[in-house]
Amino acid sequence: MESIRLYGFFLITLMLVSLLKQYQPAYGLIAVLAALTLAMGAALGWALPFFQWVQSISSLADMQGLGSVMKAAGVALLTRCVQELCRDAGQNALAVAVDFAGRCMILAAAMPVMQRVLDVLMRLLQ
Amino acid sequence: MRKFLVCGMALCLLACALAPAAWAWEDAAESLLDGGKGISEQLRTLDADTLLEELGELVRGQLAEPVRMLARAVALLLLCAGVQGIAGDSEWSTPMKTVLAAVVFLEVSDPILALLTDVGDTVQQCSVYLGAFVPTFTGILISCGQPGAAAVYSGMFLTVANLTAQVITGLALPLLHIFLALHAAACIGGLDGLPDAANLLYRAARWVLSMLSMVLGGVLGLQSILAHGSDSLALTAGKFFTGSIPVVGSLASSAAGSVLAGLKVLKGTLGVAAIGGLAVMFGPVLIRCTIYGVGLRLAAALSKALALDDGQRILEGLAKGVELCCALMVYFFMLVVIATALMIVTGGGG
Repeated sequence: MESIRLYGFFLITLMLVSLLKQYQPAYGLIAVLAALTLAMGAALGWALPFFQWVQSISSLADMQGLGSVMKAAGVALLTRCVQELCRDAGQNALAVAVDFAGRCMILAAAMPVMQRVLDVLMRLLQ
Repeated sequence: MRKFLVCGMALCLLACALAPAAWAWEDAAESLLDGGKGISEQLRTLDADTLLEELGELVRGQLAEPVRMLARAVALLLLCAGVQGIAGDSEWSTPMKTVLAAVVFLEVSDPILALLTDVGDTVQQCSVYLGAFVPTFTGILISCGQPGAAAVYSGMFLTVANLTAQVITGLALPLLHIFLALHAAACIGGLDGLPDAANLLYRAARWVLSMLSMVLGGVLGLQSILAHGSDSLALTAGKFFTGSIPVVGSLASSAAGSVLAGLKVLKGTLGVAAIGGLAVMFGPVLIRCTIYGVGLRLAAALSKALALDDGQRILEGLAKGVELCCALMVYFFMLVVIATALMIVTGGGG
């Protein structure tokens, strides 16, 4: 039922944005942003039990890399959304900046994992 | 006269001082011999059921760690597949793939590193055993008036066994380590040139091992000494199991007769201690190598099914490394069994 409600919300937003873009393009962008925020909030609410489950598995099986993976996946997803939003608004330069920032954040999230990989490789090469 | 008296008293004092130690040593030697006879008797009367039971216990003991690694790898691969599904085939899939490959490598690398250390230690122990045992026994043979047998034994095993042990510990194992490091770095970093270099190192390590197995195969021209009474069923089973081992599988298969006959010679003589030593030294590591190899292949197959290409390549590389370790262990096992059996046969102990 919730999914049907969400799809209905998206379809109504789509129609609203299409109408607004014809008369007030600036408001259209704001409407898209608002809809995106609401949708992301709802999606996070659904994904929260999954994240908690992954966290429990991670602590149970001592998988330290899982946190980094989830963080990187979240950053990738959010960056992709914002990047598309920038492109829709015709701001390609901003989209490139968002892309760069997202990659940097993924690198930062993966840093502990990469450090441990480097340690293992050094141990192999010793 | 006085000198004789002093010498006599000194001898009496020395005898009094040393007598308890001598009696104690005699008791210890007797108990040791009795214990040895007990172990020998136990091994002589070892039936197939007891042997299978002991083997089952050994396998169960070594199974826990690889199964834990496999369970963790499976859980991680399923989660990685989910995450990759969220990232999709967009331009974000490349950095995500790098992170996922790094995490997969990290999760399986710790037990594999421990296994590699164990293999290296066992090979080193073996090398020390051969390096100390062969010259000592050669000396005993010479002192017992068998210089011909001593010359054959020492000429063959001091040169072949020691040389191969040194080549493997000094060349094949380091090559294997570098291969694993380069292969993992290539898969994680997505570097195109590195997998070829890594495979070159793997082929070099295989080549070293196959050359050494050829040398051992040449030495096994002596198998006619040992292969008299080998049981045909055991021989067939041995050939079946050893045929699947990489690099040295064919050698192990063709030398199965010599190894079985060698084990038989050892079981029938004082070499029971050698059997126990070999079982303790090789059994756990060899079983762990085999189970880890199977586990890594299973995880690689699952990774392929979930379209995690980098994870699959990493797991296959590690599996190749572990299988080569298994081949090393089998090679050393054959070397030590044949060396010890030949020692007993040439010394007239069989």
